Amino acid sequence: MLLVQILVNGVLLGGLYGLMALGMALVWGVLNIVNLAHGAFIMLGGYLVFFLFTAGLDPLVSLPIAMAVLFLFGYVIQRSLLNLIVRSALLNTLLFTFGLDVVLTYLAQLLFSADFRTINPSYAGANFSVGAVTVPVGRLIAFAIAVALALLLYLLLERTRLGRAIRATAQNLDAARLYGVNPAQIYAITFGIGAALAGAAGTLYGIVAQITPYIGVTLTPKSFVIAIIGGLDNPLRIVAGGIVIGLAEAVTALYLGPTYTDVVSFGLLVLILVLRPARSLKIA
Amino acid sequence: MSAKLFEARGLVKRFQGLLAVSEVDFAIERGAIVGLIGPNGAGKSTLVNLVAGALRLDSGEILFDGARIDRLPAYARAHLGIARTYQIAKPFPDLSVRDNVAIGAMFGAEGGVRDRAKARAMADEWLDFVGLAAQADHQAARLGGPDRKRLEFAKALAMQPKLLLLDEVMAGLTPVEVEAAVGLIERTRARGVTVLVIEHVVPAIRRLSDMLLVLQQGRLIASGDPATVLNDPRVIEAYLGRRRA
Amino acid sequence: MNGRWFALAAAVALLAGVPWFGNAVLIQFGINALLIAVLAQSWNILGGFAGYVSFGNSVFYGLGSYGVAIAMAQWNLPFWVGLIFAATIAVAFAALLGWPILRLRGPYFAIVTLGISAAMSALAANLDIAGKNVGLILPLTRNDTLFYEASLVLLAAATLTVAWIARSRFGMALIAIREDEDAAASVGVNATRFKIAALAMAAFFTAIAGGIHAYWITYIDPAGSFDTTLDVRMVIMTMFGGPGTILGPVVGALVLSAIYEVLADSISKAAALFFGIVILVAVIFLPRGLVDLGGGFRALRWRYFLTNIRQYRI
Repeated sequence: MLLVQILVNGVLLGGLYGLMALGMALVWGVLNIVNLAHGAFIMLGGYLVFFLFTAGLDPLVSLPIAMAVLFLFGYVIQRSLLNLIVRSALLNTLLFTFGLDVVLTYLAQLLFSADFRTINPSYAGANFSVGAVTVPVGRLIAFAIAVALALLLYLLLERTRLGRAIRATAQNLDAARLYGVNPAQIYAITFGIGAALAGAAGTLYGIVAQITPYIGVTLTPKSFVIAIIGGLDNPLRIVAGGIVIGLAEAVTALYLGPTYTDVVSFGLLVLILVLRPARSLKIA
Repeated sequence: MSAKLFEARGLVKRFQGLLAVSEVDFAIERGAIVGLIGPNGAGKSTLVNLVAGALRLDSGEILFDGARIDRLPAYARAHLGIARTYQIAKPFPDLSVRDNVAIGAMFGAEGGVRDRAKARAMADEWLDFVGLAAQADHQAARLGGPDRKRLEFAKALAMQPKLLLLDEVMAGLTPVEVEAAVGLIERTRARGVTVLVIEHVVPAIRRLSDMLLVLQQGRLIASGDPATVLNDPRVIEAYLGRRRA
Repeated sequence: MNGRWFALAAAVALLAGVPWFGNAVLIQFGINALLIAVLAQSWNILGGFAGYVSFGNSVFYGLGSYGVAIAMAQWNLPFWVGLIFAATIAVAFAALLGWPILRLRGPYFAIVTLGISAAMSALAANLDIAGKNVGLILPLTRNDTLFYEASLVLLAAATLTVAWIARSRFGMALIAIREDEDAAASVGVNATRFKIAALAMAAFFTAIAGGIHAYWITYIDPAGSFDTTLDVRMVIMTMFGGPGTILGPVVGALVLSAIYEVLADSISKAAALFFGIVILVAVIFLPRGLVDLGGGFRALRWRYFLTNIRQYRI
């Protein structure tokens, strides 16, 4: 029965992981930018909601605020800085976002200190039982919101005009231009959405785990792994990918110990990349 | 040594369900110039990529000099003597024109030459052969379209290949430039290189080729001597479109 | 050409003479700066020439540190044997790990190294082999001058190696891979083999730097040895100084180390922020690094800084 418990935990955590990867996959698929600062965006979202929480706001209320603030942040960065080099080799944007990650992480360390922070609203610690399995409420809510946001993203991309414009830009920049799309604007909006999703992920992460300036260090590569497993087109497949990683981590933690969860995740990454050629990915 | 330098048997390549190349069989004799034509999307470039090793076959065999090479990666095929040009030229942008060609000499057939100075000297000879000697020191990224194609050509020749795959080398050239290209290809054959030319420019190909292959939607619909092939009604319909009766 | 050789020789002589006219603080700064320059130069081999950005070279540094520490502290072997041991482990690790991950293309490789670095860090903090997470203490040798000169010699060796690469067929292969890996393969370059060789060379020098550092500071622990901030610094220093050049990484490392030292006195933690901003600026305005600035500025004046933007903006 312990195994079932572990699997449930893995699935719930995995949904959140999927949400984390969503923003990175979107930006990668549309802009061909691998955002190494993605983990830092998650971290910032977490801190924002943490401080709002200490000021009395429930994290679920602050979640949309965090998303809005991070959307703006991402939009400005893309519009003013990344758009200057976005059409160069992937390597350049990789290095740029790397530098951004360094800046944001150190700024966070400077301003917020390295102390562990958690967001614990009253319901976060509660749990209920389904048979022999205990379901933590906090994680369940995180899972539900993660899936909901993935669905929203899917609907945005498939059913709205903006979504069509984004997809058109992703597929063929020049053709999209001919149809009246303003690429600079679309790029900035897309990056903003990616940041907003990271912000949401950070909020939820703060509820189920702890926030430090350094959580981005592992969350960025993890998001990358999930984005690869899930492919860059379908948000729902990415959530599924997140669940795969969540399960892998949970099982590893049970049988090998928590130290090895990162090793297993990255081992999986290497395995997947080596064995499965990147057919669905746009990378040159 | 058999007369057949190259043989393709039953080549098949799919892209996510779409059959790009289907049951293609053909052979190329040593010292021949073989032309490959077909409408857009026929699968010509895919075929070149399969032969060069840039793409993996789904099924079929490729024989080169009597040995199977379909499991070999691209660089290994280069060492055996297969060189190719790209339809959209892929120079090494930051390097000089000379160094671009020198790389061909350094890593080509049988692993190439080890000495950089020697490779550069060989590069100069090939640049002369294709007519790019004046630009030897220029940065490759600065070259214009036709010169880029010449660079591709020289780079491939510097590899001392037995088989040269030319992918639409004449696209975008003026008639005068096409003539020059035809001359270049004939002089290349005179040096003992077997050539497979993928082209759109039919008149040039007709004069150049000993044998003509016609690809349509991944299938080889005709092969043989140019005059016969070009008069084949299936070819006319497929390649040139339905003409007024 | 003669003028440049003379200037270079003079610079090296000057650097070698530091222990005699500098104070203890300067010598210590020198050792750190020289060692990080070795790291940058090593990174340059795969990152600058082949264009494969690794965010995980600190792993080799850690292996080097622990290799020497284990050899000296637990097996009582002399320093130079420890160095050979350390270098061997690192090169073996590079070859073993390199084989699967260097088949990947640039960006995938970069992220995998990021993951490996993070995983190694976590692992090192928890494994018991190397002194039960308390760290290891090496025999004490108080001779900063010796360590300084050893670091300088190592940097010279690394730089000479890079100079050889820049002029050799091996180097041409790496450059071809960077410029266009598909075209390189079609021309006969066995990309994976060259990439692994480059990584192994980088691992070699990086590990030895780690070994020298370990012996110098006498005490090592996992956090200090498998230090991910090293990755940040070696990447930035090379990109800033000039990737794919012979002196770029050295210039970048020494300049940035010096600036960092100066700033660290005035604004403590914010100095670390400095590196991040450096690379943001460098990627946009100085795509070829500091070393190219001289000639580029002479040719284009201030427009030089806009060339990258003009070409790649949306």
